[in-house]
Amino acid sequence: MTMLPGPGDLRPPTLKLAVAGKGGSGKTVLASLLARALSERGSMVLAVDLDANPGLAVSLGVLPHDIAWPDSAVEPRPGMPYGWGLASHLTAAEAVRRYAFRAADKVAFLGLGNMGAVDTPLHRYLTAVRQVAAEFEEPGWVVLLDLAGGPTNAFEGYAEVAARALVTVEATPTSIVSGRRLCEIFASDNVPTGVVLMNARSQDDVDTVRKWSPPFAVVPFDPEVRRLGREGSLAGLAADSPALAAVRELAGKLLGAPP
Amino acid sequence: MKIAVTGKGGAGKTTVTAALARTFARLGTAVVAVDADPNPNLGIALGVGLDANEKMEGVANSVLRRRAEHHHHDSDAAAAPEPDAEELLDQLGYLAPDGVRLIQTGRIERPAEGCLCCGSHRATRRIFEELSADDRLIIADLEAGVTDLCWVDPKPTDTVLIVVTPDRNSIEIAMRTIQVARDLEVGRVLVAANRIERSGEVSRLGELLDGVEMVEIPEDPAITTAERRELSPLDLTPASPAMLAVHSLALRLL
Repeated sequence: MTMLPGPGDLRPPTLKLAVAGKGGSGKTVLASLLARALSERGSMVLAVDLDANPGLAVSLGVLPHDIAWPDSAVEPRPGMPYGWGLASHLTAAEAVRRYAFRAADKVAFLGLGNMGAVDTPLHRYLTAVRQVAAEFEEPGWVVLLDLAGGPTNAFEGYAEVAARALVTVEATPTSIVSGRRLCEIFASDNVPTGVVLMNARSQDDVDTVRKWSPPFAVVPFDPEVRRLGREGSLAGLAADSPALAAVRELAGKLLGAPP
Repeated sequence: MKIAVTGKGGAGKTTVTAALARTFARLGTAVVAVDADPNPNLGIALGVGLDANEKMEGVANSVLRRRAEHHHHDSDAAAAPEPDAEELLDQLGYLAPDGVRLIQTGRIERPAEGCLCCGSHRATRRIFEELSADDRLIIADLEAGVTDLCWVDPKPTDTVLIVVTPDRNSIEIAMRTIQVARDLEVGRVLVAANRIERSGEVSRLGELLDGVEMVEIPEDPAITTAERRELSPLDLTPASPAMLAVHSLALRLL
């Protein structure tokens, strides 16, 4: 794949987006459908999973053993979080070229590796993945950061590189209060947010969320998404899925009017 | 007894933990419920109300605040006494319905430096480890995923309860958690198969989570109804199918 822009490159600059939300609120569904919708619109997509539990990989149809990084990709970096960082011989683009897995034609996936046992040194890769997300600048690409469920990644500043953080909520009080906590963290980092109501079943649901914050996008409940989610990969979701239609609209909004 | 409840986000950890805590209390056991999730919603599920839940102070903040106040009064901050777990429970414990004592260890303000291990993770580990379980039951609602269990470091005398739904990602995390719990030499591992709609789902879970003790909790619209009204299902529909299943789970655990 060609990643370095030639002279007079007219492709848009890299757009970085974070997806965050309470566990089970549809964060990973949104990230995987958004990867698909953005690539349909011509973007190259780098989907970065910051969750040690590789839900996004499964949704994109990537097998756990495809996620692994070799030991040589990282090295001790005193002073960096967890004391490890990207090996100094690697640039972000080179790390993506070597270690990102091609999930689809225009979607590359970069994950942390597998939390298979107590002593799996996943923390070594956290900073490296974060560095890649921060330093990767390739015209025509969108970087989608799928944060781990809950506020921990947000607290640790993982969304700071993003032009916008999409916060998924469902129309329940617990989900909304969880989304509100996330939006407060992003606000303190000056990361603009967009609330995405997932699994909307009625206008009542939209109104419930609107009372707190007008949703940036509304993704309707789609029984097919739920059925496929039970099996794992969303790759087989039909092109006429109502949830996918809503995410396509969101993708257009994100590409058309970057914040 | 000490029980650490874990699972994928959205699997129903908090709902099951809250219903179990109150069921144990109704059965006559003194219960301490530990909300170890940095996204702390256990109070809401216990039925204390959204506002009361948001106003609680977590252990990590309390310790940091004391240290800062001590520093203010005394130049030697290092000498700031750190209260023990029982003192923290006395000061921060919130009396929830049915007499359950709720303490938040996961709630944090933004940490000053990069990681949370010195704040919420450490607080959870201390409270879970140091609180005595003589004549009392400690039940902790952990952060979603596998990693928090490593921070808590349960002992061979403890129980790990894994809440799992029949979704691929949820099962994946349950399988890893079982492995981690075995590596940690936890005494008892039990799976709550939650939101079960068909019996085939349980047998499939049984095959994938080979050999682990399993209790079934059926899909139950009463849970969603209660959640939307910010109530505990035990207050609204105590005899709904899921709540009856939690009752059997409580008896099994005891």
